[in-house]
Amino acid sequence: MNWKAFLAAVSIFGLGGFLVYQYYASRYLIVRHDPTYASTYASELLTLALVAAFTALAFCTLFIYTALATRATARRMAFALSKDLALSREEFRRFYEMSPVPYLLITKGGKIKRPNKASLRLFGLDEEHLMGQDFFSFLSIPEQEGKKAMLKEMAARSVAIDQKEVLVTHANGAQRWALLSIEELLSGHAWMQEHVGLATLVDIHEQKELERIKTEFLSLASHQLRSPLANMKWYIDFLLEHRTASLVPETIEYLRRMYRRNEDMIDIVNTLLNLSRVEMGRIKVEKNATDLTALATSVLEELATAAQDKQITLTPSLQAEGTVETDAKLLRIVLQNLLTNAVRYTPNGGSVFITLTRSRREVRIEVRDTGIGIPPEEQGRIFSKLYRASNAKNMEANGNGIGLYMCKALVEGMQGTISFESVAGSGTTFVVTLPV
Amino acid sequence: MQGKTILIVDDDTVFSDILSEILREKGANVVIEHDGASGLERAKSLAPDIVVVDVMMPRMSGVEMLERFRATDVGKCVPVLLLTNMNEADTMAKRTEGDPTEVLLKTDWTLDQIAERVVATLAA
Repeated sequence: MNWKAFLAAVSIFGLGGFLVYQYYASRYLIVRHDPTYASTYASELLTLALVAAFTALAFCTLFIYTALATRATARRMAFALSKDLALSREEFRRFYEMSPVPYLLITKGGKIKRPNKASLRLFGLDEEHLMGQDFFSFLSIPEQEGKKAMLKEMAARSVAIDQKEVLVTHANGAQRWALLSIEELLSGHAWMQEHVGLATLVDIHEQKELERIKTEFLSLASHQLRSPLANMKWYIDFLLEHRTASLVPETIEYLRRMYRRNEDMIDIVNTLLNLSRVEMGRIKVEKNATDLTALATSVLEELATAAQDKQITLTPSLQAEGTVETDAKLLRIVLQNLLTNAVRYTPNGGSVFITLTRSRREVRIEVRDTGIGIPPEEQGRIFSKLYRASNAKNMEANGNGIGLYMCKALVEGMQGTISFESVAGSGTTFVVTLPV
Repeated sequence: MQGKTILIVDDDTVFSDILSEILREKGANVVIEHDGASGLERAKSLAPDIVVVDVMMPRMSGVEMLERFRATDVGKCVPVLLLTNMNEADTMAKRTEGDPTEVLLKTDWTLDQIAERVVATLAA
Protein backbone atom coordinates (compact mmCIF):
# COMPACT_ATOMS: atom_id res chain seq x y z
CA MET A 1 0.00 0.00 0.00
CA ASN A 2 2.78 2.40 0.97
CA TRP A 3 4.89 2.01 -2.14
CA LYS A 4 1.80 2.50 -4.33
CA ALA A 5 1.01 5.75 -2.53
CA PHE A 6 4.63 6.80 -2.93
CA LEU A 7 4.56 6.07 -6.68
CA ALA A 8 1.32 8.00 -7.07
CA ALA A 9 2.78 10.97 -5.18
CA VAL A 10 5.96 10.93 -7.26
CA SER A 11 3.98 10.82 -10.54
CA ILE A 12 1.65 13.61 -9.48
CA PHE A 13 4.52 15.82 -8.34
CA GLY A 14 6.53 14.91 -11.45
CA LEU A 15 3.69 15.82 -13.79
CA GLY A 16 2.94 19.02 -11.83
CA GLY A 17 6.62 20.04 -11.96
CA PHE A 18 6.79 19.38 -15.69
CA LEU A 19 3.69 21.51 -16.35
CA VAL A 20 4.95 24.36 -14.18
CA TYR A 21 8.26 24.27 -16.07
CA GLN A 22 6.45 24.37 -19.45
CA TYR A 23 4.33 27.29 -18.29
CA TYR A 24 7.39 29.13 -17.09
CA ALA A 25 9.09 28.42 -20.41
CA SER A 26 6.09 29.64 -22.41
CA ARG A 27 5.86 32.89 -20.38
CA TYR A 28 9.49 33.79 -20.23
CA LEU A 29 11.44 31.83 -22.86
CA ILE A 30 9.28 31.40 -25.95
CA VAL A 31 7.59 34.80 -25.55
CA ARG A 32 10.76 36.62 -26.66
CA HIS A 33 10.69 34.94 -30.07
CA ASP A 34 6.98 34.52 -30.85
CA PRO A 35 4.54 36.16 -28.39
CA THR A 36 1.35 34.98 -30.15
CA TYR A 37 2.36 31.32 -30.16
CA ALA A 38 3.51 31.62 -26.58
CA SER A 39 0.22 32.98 -25.33
CA THR A 40 -1.77 30.23 -27.10
CA TYR A 41 0.66 27.63 -25.79
CA ALA A 42 0.40 28.97 -22.26
CA SER A 43 -3.42 28.95 -22.22
CA GLU A 44 -3.48 25.38 -23.53
CA LEU A 45 -0.93 24.32 -20.93
CA LEU A 46 -3.04 25.96 -18.26
CA THR A 47 -6.10 23.99 -19.41
CA LEU A 48 -4.07 20.80 -19.43
CA ALA A 49 -2.74 21.56 -15.93
CA LEU A 50 -6.22 22.22 -14.66
CA VAL A 51 -7.54 18.94 -16.10
CA ALA A 52 -4.57 17.07 -14.62
CA ALA A 53 -5.10 18.75 -11.25
CA PHE A 54 -8.76 17.85 -11.21
CA THR A 55 -8.03 14.26 -12.14
CA ALA A 56 -5.36 14.03 -9.45
CA LEU A 57 -7.72 15.54 -6.93
CA ALA A 58 -10.41 13.05 -7.85
CA PHE A 59 -7.97 10.19 -7.50
CA CYS A 60 -6.68 11.50 -4.18
CA THR A 61 -10.19 11.89 -2.83
CA LEU A 62 -11.05 8.39 -3.95
CA PHE A 63 -7.83 7.05 -2.43
CA ILE A 64 -8.32 8.81 0.89
CA TYR A 65 -11.95 7.78 1.02
CA THR A 66 -11.05 4.10 0.37
CA ALA A 67 -8.32 4.17 3.00
CA LEU A 68 -10.64 5.70 5.55
CA ALA A 69 -13.40 3.24 4.72
CA THR A 70 -11.01 0.27 5.09
CA ARG A 71 -9.81 1.54 8.44
CA ALA A 72 -13.34 1.89 9.69
CA THR A 73 -14.16 -1.66 8.55
CA ALA A 74 -11.00 -2.97 10.15
CA ARG A 75 -11.86 -1.21 13.36
CA ARG A 76 -15.38 -2.58 13.28
CA MET A 77 -14.05 -6.08 12.57
CA ALA A 78 -11.47 -5.86 15.33
CA PHE A 79 -14.17 -4.75 17.72
CA ALA A 80 -16.42 -7.62 16.72
CA LEU A 81 -13.53 -10.07 16.94
CA SER A 82 -12.50 -8.97 20.39
CA LYS A 83 -16.10 -9.25 21.47
CA ASP A 84 -16.22 -12.77 20.07
CA LEU A 85 -12.96 -13.68 21.75
CA ALA A 86 -14.18 -12.40 25.05
CA LEU A 87 -17.36 -14.34 24.52
CA SER A 88 -15.55 -17.54 23.53
CA ARG A 89 -13.22 -17.21 26.52
CA GLU A 90 -16.27 -16.93 28.72
CA GLU A 91 -17.88 -19.82 26.87
CA PHE A 92 -14.73 -21.88 27.27
CA ARG A 93 -14.56 -21.09 30.96
CA ARG A 94 -18.17 -22.17 31.38
CA PHE A 95 -17.59 -25.27 29.30
CA TYR A 96 -14.60 -26.14 31.49
CA GLU A 97 -16.45 -25.44 34.71
CA MET A 98 -19.77 -27.03 33.83
CA SER A 99 -18.52 -30.07 31.89
CA PRO A 100 -19.73 -33.31 33.45
CA VAL A 101 -16.23 -34.68 32.85
CA PRO A 102 -13.80 -33.95 35.68
CA TYR A 103 -10.97 -31.67 34.51
CA LEU A 104 -8.04 -30.39 36.54
CA LEU A 105 -5.06 -28.27 35.68
CA ILE A 106 -1.98 -29.66 37.36
CA THR A 107 1.59 -28.47 37.57
CA LYS A 108 4.52 -30.56 36.45
CA GLY A 109 5.03 -31.62 40.04
CA GLY A 110 1.43 -32.85 40.17
CA LYS A 111 -0.03 -30.03 42.29
CA ILE A 112 -3.69 -29.33 41.61
CA LYS A 113 -4.23 -25.81 40.26
CA ARG A 114 -7.68 -25.57 38.85
CA PRO A 115 -10.26 -28.26 39.44
CA ASN A 116 -13.62 -27.92 37.65
CA LYS A 117 -16.94 -28.64 39.34
CA ALA A 118 -17.15 -32.25 38.19
CA SER A 119 -13.72 -32.98 39.65
CA LEU A 120 -14.75 -31.41 42.96
CA ARG A 121 -17.68 -33.84 43.00
CA LEU A 122 -15.40 -36.76 42.09
CA PHE A 123 -12.98 -35.98 44.91
CA GLY A 124 -15.70 -34.89 47.34
CA LEU A 125 -13.76 -31.76 48.33
CA ASP A 126 -14.25 -28.03 47.77
CA GLU A 127 -11.86 -25.94 45.75
CA GLU A 128 -10.00 -24.59 48.80
CA HIS A 129 -9.15 -28.04 50.03
CA LEU A 130 -8.20 -29.37 46.66
CA MET A 131 -5.98 -26.51 45.48
CA GLY A 132 -2.28 -27.19 45.85
CA GLN A 133 -2.77 -30.83 46.84
CA ASP A 134 -0.81 -33.62 45.20
CA PHE A 135 -3.04 -34.89 42.41
CA PHE A 136 -1.50 -38.35 42.45
CA SER A 137 -2.21 -38.83 46.15
CA PHE A 138 -5.88 -39.30 45.21
CA LEU A 139 -5.10 -42.02 42.69
CA SER A 140 -4.17 -45.63 43.09
CA ILE A 141 -3.71 -48.66 40.89
CA PRO A 142 -4.39 -51.88 42.82
CA GLU A 143 -1.47 -54.33 42.85
CA GLN A 144 0.53 -52.02 40.60
CA GLU A 145 1.77 -49.11 42.68
CA GLY A 146 4.88 -49.02 40.51
CA LYS A 147 2.70 -48.08 37.58
CA LYS A 148 1.36 -45.06 39.48
CA ALA A 149 4.90 -43.83 40.13
CA MET A 150 5.50 -44.23 36.42
CA LEU A 151 2.43 -42.12 35.57
CA LYS A 152 3.65 -39.40 37.94
CA GLU A 153 7.04 -39.50 36.31
CA MET A 154 5.44 -39.20 32.86
CA ALA A 155 3.42 -36.19 33.98
CA ALA A 156 6.55 -34.56 35.40
CA ARG A 157 8.32 -35.00 32.07
CA SER A 158 5.28 -33.69 30.15
CA VAL A 159 4.74 -37.02 28.41
CA ALA A 160 1.08 -37.38 27.44
CA ILE A 161 -0.89 -40.01 29.34
CA ASP A 162 -3.70 -41.64 27.41
CA GLN A 163 -6.66 -43.33 29.13
CA LYS A 164 -5.04 -45.29 31.93
CA GLU A 165 -7.33 -47.03 34.40
CA VAL A 166 -6.94 -45.65 37.92
CA LEU A 167 -8.90 -45.74 41.16
CA VAL A 168 -9.87 -42.30 42.47
CA THR A 169 -10.34 -41.94 46.21
CA HIS A 170 -13.30 -39.81 47.32
CA ALA A 171 -13.03 -37.80 50.54
CA ASN A 172 -15.37 -40.31 52.21
CA GLY A 173 -12.97 -43.14 51.39
CA ALA A 174 -15.00 -44.64 48.55
CA GLN A 175 -13.08 -45.46 45.41
CA ARG A 176 -14.17 -45.19 41.81
CA TRP A 177 -12.58 -46.38 38.60
CA ALA A 178 -11.70 -43.69 36.07
CA LEU A 179 -9.74 -43.33 32.87
CA LEU A 180 -6.91 -40.87 33.40
CA SER A 181 -5.48 -38.77 30.58
CA ILE A 182 -3.00 -35.94 30.97
CA GLU A 183 -2.22 -33.64 28.10
CA GLU A 184 0.28 -30.80 28.33
CA LEU A 185 -1.33 -27.41 27.83
CA LEU A 186 0.73 -24.97 25.83
CA SER A 187 0.66 -21.91 27.99
CA GLY A 188 0.61 -18.59 26.15
CA HIS A 189 2.83 -17.09 28.79
CA ALA A 190 6.40 -17.96 28.02
CA TRP A 191 7.46 -16.32 31.28
CA MET A 192 5.54 -18.95 33.24
CA GLN A 193 8.06 -21.16 34.91
CA GLU A 194 5.70 -24.05 35.39
CA HIS A 195 3.94 -25.73 32.54
CA VAL A 196 0.52 -27.07 33.31
CA GLY A 197 -1.12 -30.29 32.29
CA LEU A 198 -4.81 -30.81 31.68
CA ALA A 199 -5.86 -33.93 33.57
CA THR A 200 -9.09 -35.63 32.58
CA LEU A 201 -10.76 -38.35 34.61
CA VAL A 202 -13.57 -40.19 32.86
CA ASP A 203 -15.69 -42.15 35.31
CA ILE A 204 -15.92 -45.79 34.22
CA HIS A 205 -16.94 -47.19 37.57
CA GLU A 206 -20.33 -48.55 36.51
CA GLN A 207 -18.77 -50.22 33.52
CA LYS A 208 -16.03 -51.84 35.62
CA GLU A 209 -18.57 -52.93 38.20
CA LEU A 210 -20.73 -54.58 35.52
CA GLU A 211 -17.68 -56.30 34.09
CA ARG A 212 -16.72 -57.58 37.53
CA ILE A 213 -20.22 -58.87 38.25
CA LYS A 214 -20.35 -60.56 34.88
CA THR A 215 -17.01 -62.29 35.26
CA GLU A 216 -17.66 -63.27 38.86
CA PHE A 217 -20.97 -64.75 37.87
CA LEU A 218 -19.27 -66.63 35.08
CA SER A 219 -16.63 -67.93 37.45
CA LEU A 220 -19.15 -68.96 40.12
CA ALA A 221 -21.46 -70.57 37.59
CA SER A 222 -18.59 -72.48 36.04
CA HIS A 223 -17.50 -73.67 39.45
CA GLN A 224 -20.99 -74.86 40.29
CA LEU A 225 -21.16 -76.62 36.94
CA ARG A 226 -17.91 -78.45 37.53
CA SER A 227 -19.08 -80.29 40.65
CA PRO A 228 -21.79 -82.37 38.94
CA LEU A 229 -19.59 -82.85 35.88
CA ALA A 230 -16.81 -84.27 38.02
CA ASN A 231 -19.29 -86.62 39.68
CA MET A 232 -20.65 -87.79 36.32
CA LYS A 233 -17.11 -88.41 35.13
CA TRP A 234 -16.27 -90.43 38.23
CA TYR A 235 -19.38 -92.55 38.27
CA ILE A 236 -19.40 -93.38 34.57
CA ASP A 237 -15.70 -94.14 34.70
CA PHE A 238 -16.23 -96.32 37.77
CA LEU A 239 -18.95 -98.30 36.00
CA LEU A 240 -16.80 -98.75 32.92
CA GLU A 241 -13.69 -99.75 34.84
CA HIS A 242 -15.08 -101.77 37.74
CA ARG A 243 -18.57 -102.97 36.85
CA THR A 244 -18.21 -104.10 33.23
CA ALA A 245 -19.00 -107.68 34.21
CA SER A 246 -22.55 -106.75 35.15
CA LEU A 247 -23.17 -104.55 32.07
CA VAL A 248 -24.47 -105.55 28.65
CA PRO A 249 -22.47 -104.28 25.62
CA GLU A 250 -25.16 -101.79 24.64
CA THR A 251 -25.03 -100.18 28.09
CA ILE A 252 -21.26 -100.01 27.91
CA GLU A 253 -21.43 -98.27 24.51
CA TYR A 254 -23.91 -95.70 25.83
CA LEU A 255 -21.81 -95.15 28.93
CA ARG A 256 -18.78 -94.50 26.69
CA ARG A 257 -20.77 -91.91 24.75
CA MET A 258 -21.96 -90.32 27.96
CA TYR A 259 -18.38 -90.14 29.16
CA ARG A 260 -17.22 -88.43 25.95
CA ARG A 261 -20.05 -85.90 25.97
CA ASN A 262 -19.34 -85.19 29.61
CA GLU A 263 -15.68 -84.57 28.76
CA ASP A 264 -16.80 -82.10 26.05
CA MET A 265 -18.88 -80.31 28.66
CA ILE A 266 -15.89 -80.18 31.03
CA ASP A 267 -13.85 -78.62 28.20
CA ILE A 268 -16.47 -75.94 27.64
CA VAL A 269 -16.63 -75.11 31.33
CA ASN A 270 -12.83 -74.97 31.53
CA THR A 271 -12.75 -72.64 28.55
CA LEU A 272 -15.35 -70.36 30.13
CA LEU A 273 -13.41 -70.35 33.37
CA ASN A 274 -10.14 -69.55 31.66
CA LEU A 275 -11.86 -66.78 29.77
CA SER A 276 -13.30 -65.26 32.92
CA ARG A 277 -9.88 -65.44 34.52
CA VAL A 278 -8.26 -63.69 31.55
CA GLU A 279 -10.91 -60.98 31.70
CA MET A 280 -10.64 -60.51 35.44
CA GLY A 281 -6.89 -60.15 34.97
CA ARG A 282 -6.39 -63.10 37.26
CA ILE A 283 -4.06 -64.95 34.93
CA LYS A 284 -0.68 -64.88 36.59
CA VAL A 285 2.27 -66.00 34.55
CA GLU A 286 4.26 -68.48 36.62
CA LYS A 287 7.45 -69.46 34.88
CA ASN A 288 9.11 -72.76 35.55
CA ALA A 289 11.53 -74.98 33.70
CA THR A 290 9.42 -76.55 30.96
CA ASP A 291 10.31 -79.27 28.51
CA LEU A 292 8.60 -77.93 25.39
CA THR A 293 9.05 -81.12 23.41
CA ALA A 294 7.34 -83.15 26.14
CA LEU A 295 4.58 -80.55 26.44
CA ALA A 296 3.90 -80.54 22.68
CA THR A 297 4.03 -84.34 22.56
CA SER A 298 1.46 -84.69 25.32
CA VAL A 299 -0.91 -82.22 23.62
CA LEU A 300 -0.49 -84.18 20.36
CA GLU A 301 -1.33 -87.40 22.20
CA GLU A 302 -4.58 -85.89 23.43
CA LEU A 303 -5.46 -85.05 19.84
CA ALA A 304 -4.42 -88.37 18.32
CA THR A 305 -7.92 -89.89 18.39
CA ALA A 306 -9.60 -86.85 16.86
CA ALA A 307 -6.97 -86.75 14.10
CA GLN A 308 -7.29 -90.49 13.46
CA ASP A 309 -11.06 -90.19 13.09
CA LYS A 310 -10.50 -87.77 10.20
CA GLN A 311 -7.40 -89.54 8.80
CA ILE A 312 -5.37 -86.42 9.40
CA THR A 313 -1.63 -86.94 9.74
CA LEU A 314 0.00 -85.09 12.63
CA THR A 315 3.62 -84.32 11.85
CA PRO A 316 5.69 -82.97 14.72
CA SER A 317 9.13 -81.49 14.19
CA LEU A 318 10.25 -80.65 17.69
CA GLN A 319 13.73 -79.17 17.86
CA ALA A 320 13.80 -77.50 21.23
CA GLU A 321 16.28 -79.40 23.33
CA GLY A 322 16.36 -78.91 27.07
CA THR A 323 14.01 -76.82 29.13
CA VAL A 324 12.72 -73.27 28.75
CA GLU A 325 11.55 -70.91 31.50
CA THR A 326 7.90 -70.42 30.68
CA ASP A 327 4.41 -71.01 32.04
CA ALA A 328 3.63 -74.59 31.05
CA LYS A 329 -0.07 -74.39 31.98
CA LEU A 330 -0.76 -71.34 29.87
CA LEU A 331 1.34 -72.56 26.96
CA ARG A 332 -0.55 -75.86 27.05
CA ILE A 333 -3.86 -74.02 26.64
CA VAL A 334 -2.41 -72.12 23.66
CA LEU A 335 -1.11 -75.28 21.99
CA GLN A 336 -4.34 -77.16 22.67
CA ASN A 337 -6.35 -74.40 21.02
CA LEU A 338 -4.14 -74.00 17.97
CA LEU A 339 -3.81 -77.75 17.35
CA THR A 340 -7.50 -78.48 18.01
CA ASN A 341 -8.44 -75.75 15.52
CA ALA A 342 -5.96 -77.12 12.99
CA VAL A 343 -7.47 -80.61 13.22
CA ARG A 344 -11.05 -79.34 13.39
CA TYR A 345 -10.82 -77.11 10.34
CA THR A 346 -8.84 -79.44 8.11
CA PRO A 347 -10.89 -81.73 5.85
CA ASN A 348 -10.48 -85.49 6.09
CA GLY A 349 -7.18 -86.84 4.86
CA GLY A 350 -5.32 -83.53 5.38
CA SER A 351 -2.16 -82.79 7.37
CA VAL A 352 -1.24 -80.80 10.46
CA PHE A 353 2.36 -79.87 11.21
CA ILE A 354 3.80 -78.52 14.42
CA THR A 355 7.30 -77.13 14.39
CA LEU A 356 9.21 -76.11 17.50
CA THR A 357 12.45 -74.22 17.14
CA ARG A 358 14.54 -72.41 19.64
CA SER A 359 17.11 -69.66 19.26
CA ARG A 360 19.07 -67.86 21.92
CA ARG A 361 16.41 -65.19 22.26
CA GLU A 362 13.12 -66.89 21.58
CA VAL A 363 11.10 -70.01 21.13
CA ARG A 364 9.11 -70.28 17.94
CA ILE A 365 6.08 -72.52 17.62
CA GLU A 366 4.51 -73.00 14.23
CA VAL A 367 1.21 -74.82 13.71
CA ARG A 368 0.45 -75.36 10.02
CA ASP A 369 -2.53 -77.10 8.48
CA THR A 370 -3.88 -77.88 5.04
CA GLY A 371 -7.34 -76.78 6.12
CA ILE A 372 -10.06 -74.46 4.91
CA GLY A 373 -8.09 -71.30 5.68
CA ILE A 374 -9.40 -67.93 6.80
CA PRO A 375 -11.16 -65.71 4.22
CA PRO A 376 -8.99 -62.61 3.58
CA GLU A 377 -11.76 -60.14 4.47
CA GLU A 378 -12.22 -61.81 7.87
CA GLN A 379 -8.57 -62.10 8.82
CA GLY A 380 -8.57 -58.83 10.76
CA ARG A 381 -11.22 -60.06 13.18
CA ILE A 382 -10.03 -63.56 13.82
CA PHE A 383 -8.63 -62.76 17.28
CA SER A 384 -11.79 -60.96 18.46
CA LYS A 385 -13.86 -62.50 21.20
CA LEU A 386 -16.74 -64.72 20.06
CA TYR A 387 -15.80 -64.22 16.40
CA ARG A 388 -15.85 -67.24 14.13
CA ALA A 389 -14.90 -67.15 10.47
CA SER A 390 -17.86 -67.77 8.15
CA ASN A 391 -16.31 -70.87 6.56
CA ALA A 392 -15.49 -72.26 10.02
CA LYS A 393 -19.15 -71.87 11.03
CA ASN A 394 -20.24 -73.66 7.87
CA MET A 395 -17.91 -76.55 8.46
CA GLU A 396 -18.46 -77.00 12.19
CA ALA A 397 -21.53 -75.75 14.02
CA ASN A 398 -19.95 -76.31 17.41
CA GLY A 399 -17.42 -73.74 18.52
CA ASN A 400 -17.51 -70.69 20.73
CA GLY A 401 -15.14 -68.17 19.16
CA ILE A 402 -13.12 -67.95 22.34
CA GLY A 403 -10.05 -70.05 21.53
CA LEU A 404 -8.00 -67.61 19.46
CA TYR A 405 -9.09 -64.63 21.54
CA MET A 406 -7.74 -66.41 24.59
CA CYS A 407 -4.57 -67.58 22.82
CA LYS A 408 -3.73 -63.98 22.00
CA ALA A 409 -4.44 -62.81 25.55
CA LEU A 410 -2.32 -65.61 27.04
CA VAL A 411 0.58 -65.27 24.60
CA GLU A 412 0.70 -61.52 25.12
CA GLY A 413 0.49 -62.09 28.86
CA MET A 414 3.68 -64.11 28.48
CA GLN A 415 5.30 -61.21 26.52
CA GLY A 416 5.12 -63.25 23.33
CA THR A 417 3.59 -62.65 19.92
CA ILE A 418 1.05 -64.53 17.86
CA SER A 419 0.41 -64.09 14.16
CA PHE A 420 -0.85 -66.09 11.21
CA GLU A 421 -0.81 -66.46 7.48
CA SER A 422 -3.68 -68.03 5.67
CA VAL A 423 -4.85 -68.75 2.17
CA ALA A 424 -8.55 -69.53 2.01
CA GLY A 425 -9.02 -73.05 0.79
CA SER A 426 -5.44 -74.21 1.19
CA GLY A 427 -4.42 -73.77 4.82
CA THR A 428 -3.35 -71.66 7.74
CA THR A 429 -0.10 -71.25 9.67
CA PHE A 430 -0.09 -69.82 13.17
CA VAL A 431 3.21 -68.65 14.61
CA VAL A 432 3.77 -68.08 18.32
CA THR A 433 7.03 -66.64 19.59
CA LEU A 434 7.95 -66.49 23.24
CA PRO A 435 10.98 -64.79 24.77
CA VAL A 436 13.40 -67.14 26.48
CA MET B 1 -0.24 -100.49 50.13
CA GLN B 2 -0.61 -103.17 52.79
CA GLY B 3 -1.03 -101.71 56.24
CA LYS B 4 -1.25 -98.10 55.01
CA THR B 5 -3.98 -95.97 56.55
CA ILE B 6 -5.83 -93.58 54.25
CA LEU B 7 -8.29 -90.94 55.48
CA ILE B 8 -10.91 -89.77 52.99
CA VAL B 9 -12.88 -86.63 53.95
CA ASP B 10 -15.73 -85.73 51.60
CA ASP B 11 -19.42 -85.00 52.02
CA ASP B 12 -20.13 -86.78 48.73
CA THR B 13 -20.78 -90.32 49.98
CA VAL B 14 -20.72 -91.92 46.53
CA PHE B 15 -17.26 -90.50 45.90
CA SER B 16 -15.86 -91.64 49.24
CA ASP B 17 -17.47 -95.07 48.95
CA ILE B 18 -16.17 -95.74 45.44
CA LEU B 19 -12.69 -94.38 46.12
CA SER B 20 -12.45 -96.37 49.33
CA GLU B 21 -13.56 -99.51 47.50
CA ILE B 22 -10.81 -99.03 44.88
CA LEU B 23 -8.20 -98.39 47.56
CA ARG B 24 -9.33 -101.29 49.75
CA GLU B 25 -8.97 -103.56 46.72
CA LYS B 26 -5.35 -102.46 46.69
CA GLY B 27 -5.01 -103.54 50.30
CA ALA B 28 -5.13 -100.23 52.12
CA ASN B 29 -6.94 -99.50 55.35
CA VAL B 30 -9.45 -96.73 54.54
CA VAL B 31 -11.30 -94.48 56.98
CA ILE B 32 -14.05 -92.09 55.83
CA GLU B 33 -15.37 -88.84 57.34
CA HIS B 34 -18.06 -86.64 55.81
CA ASP B 35 -17.26 -83.13 57.04
CA GLY B 36 -14.22 -80.98 57.80
CA ALA B 37 -14.64 -80.81 61.58
CA SER B 38 -14.91 -84.55 62.18
CA GLY B 39 -12.28 -85.11 59.49
CA LEU B 40 -9.87 -82.93 61.47
CA GLU B 41 -10.54 -84.79 64.73
CA ARG B 42 -10.11 -88.15 63.02
CA ALA B 43 -6.92 -87.02 61.29
CA LYS B 44 -5.43 -85.91 64.61
CA SER B 45 -6.29 -89.14 66.45
CA LEU B 46 -5.61 -91.52 63.59
CA ALA B 47 -2.36 -90.05 62.19
CA PRO B 48 -3.02 -91.51 58.71
CA ASP B 49 -0.35 -92.06 56.06
CA ILE B 50 -2.23 -89.84 53.63
CA VAL B 51 -5.38 -87.70 53.63
CA VAL B 52 -7.68 -87.18 50.64
CA VAL B 53 -9.87 -84.16 51.32
CA ASP B 54 -12.50 -82.18 49.44
CA VAL B 55 -12.54 -78.37 49.66
CA MET B 56 -16.28 -77.64 49.76
CA MET B 57 -17.73 -79.36 52.83
CA PRO B 58 -20.23 -78.57 55.58
CA ARG B 59 -19.10 -77.42 59.05
CA MET B 60 -15.50 -76.82 58.02
CA SER B 61 -13.96 -76.37 54.58
CA GLY B 62 -11.14 -78.60 53.38
CA VAL B 63 -8.77 -75.65 53.27
CA GLU B 64 -9.48 -74.71 56.90
CA MET B 65 -9.22 -78.34 57.98
CA LEU B 66 -5.88 -78.58 56.21
CA GLU B 67 -4.58 -75.40 57.82
CA ARG B 68 -5.56 -76.60 61.28
CA PHE B 69 -4.19 -80.07 60.65
CA ARG B 70 -0.86 -78.60 59.51
CA ALA B 71 -0.71 -76.64 62.76
CA THR B 72 -0.66 -79.87 64.82
CA ASP B 73 2.41 -82.04 65.46
CA VAL B 74 0.79 -85.05 63.80
CA GLY B 75 -0.21 -83.12 60.69
CA LYS B 76 3.10 -81.45 59.78
CA CYS B 77 4.33 -83.91 57.20
CA VAL B 78 1.35 -86.05 56.28
CA PRO B 79 0.78 -85.88 52.51
CA VAL B 80 -2.60 -84.41 51.60
CA LEU B 81 -4.46 -84.52 48.30
CA LEU B 82 -6.83 -81.55 48.17
CA LEU B 83 -9.69 -82.02 45.71
CA THR B 84 -11.36 -78.93 44.34
CA ASN B 85 -13.61 -77.48 41.69
CA MET B 86 -12.29 -74.01 42.38
CA ASN B 87 -10.52 -72.06 39.74
CA GLU B 88 -8.11 -70.69 42.34
CA ALA B 89 -6.38 -74.09 42.46
CA ASP B 90 -3.05 -72.45 41.74
CA THR B 91 -3.24 -69.90 44.52
CA MET B 92 -4.19 -72.55 47.05
CA ALA B 93 -1.28 -74.68 46.00
CA LYS B 94 0.95 -71.69 46.50
CA ARG B 95 -0.28 -71.00 50.00
CA THR B 96 0.68 -74.47 51.10
CA GLU B 97 3.96 -74.57 49.21
CA GLY B 98 6.72 -76.46 50.97
CA ASP B 99 4.36 -78.86 52.70
CA PRO B 100 3.29 -82.16 51.12
CA THR B 101 -0.05 -80.92 49.78
CA GLU B 102 -1.14 -81.51 46.23
CA VAL B 103 -4.16 -79.74 44.74
CA LEU B 104 -6.15 -81.76 42.21
CA LEU B 105 -8.79 -80.21 39.98
CA LYS B 106 -11.63 -82.73 40.20
CA THR B 107 -12.63 -82.67 36.55
CA ASP B 108 -9.07 -83.50 35.47
CA TRP B 109 -9.05 -86.85 37.28
CA THR B 110 -11.00 -90.11 37.28
CA LEU B 111 -11.36 -92.04 40.54
CA ASP B 112 -8.85 -94.62 39.34
CA GLN B 113 -6.37 -91.88 38.57
CA ILE B 114 -6.89 -90.37 42.02
CA ALA B 115 -6.34 -93.82 43.57
CA GLU B 116 -3.14 -94.20 41.51
CA ARG B 117 -2.03 -90.76 42.69
CA VAL B 118 -2.58 -91.89 46.30
CA VAL B 119 -0.48 -95.00 45.68
CA ALA B 120 2.28 -93.00 43.96
CA THR B 121 2.36 -90.43 46.77
CA LEU B 122 2.61 -93.14 49.40
CA ALA B 123 5.38 -94.85 47.45
CA ALA B 124 7.39 -91.63 47.12
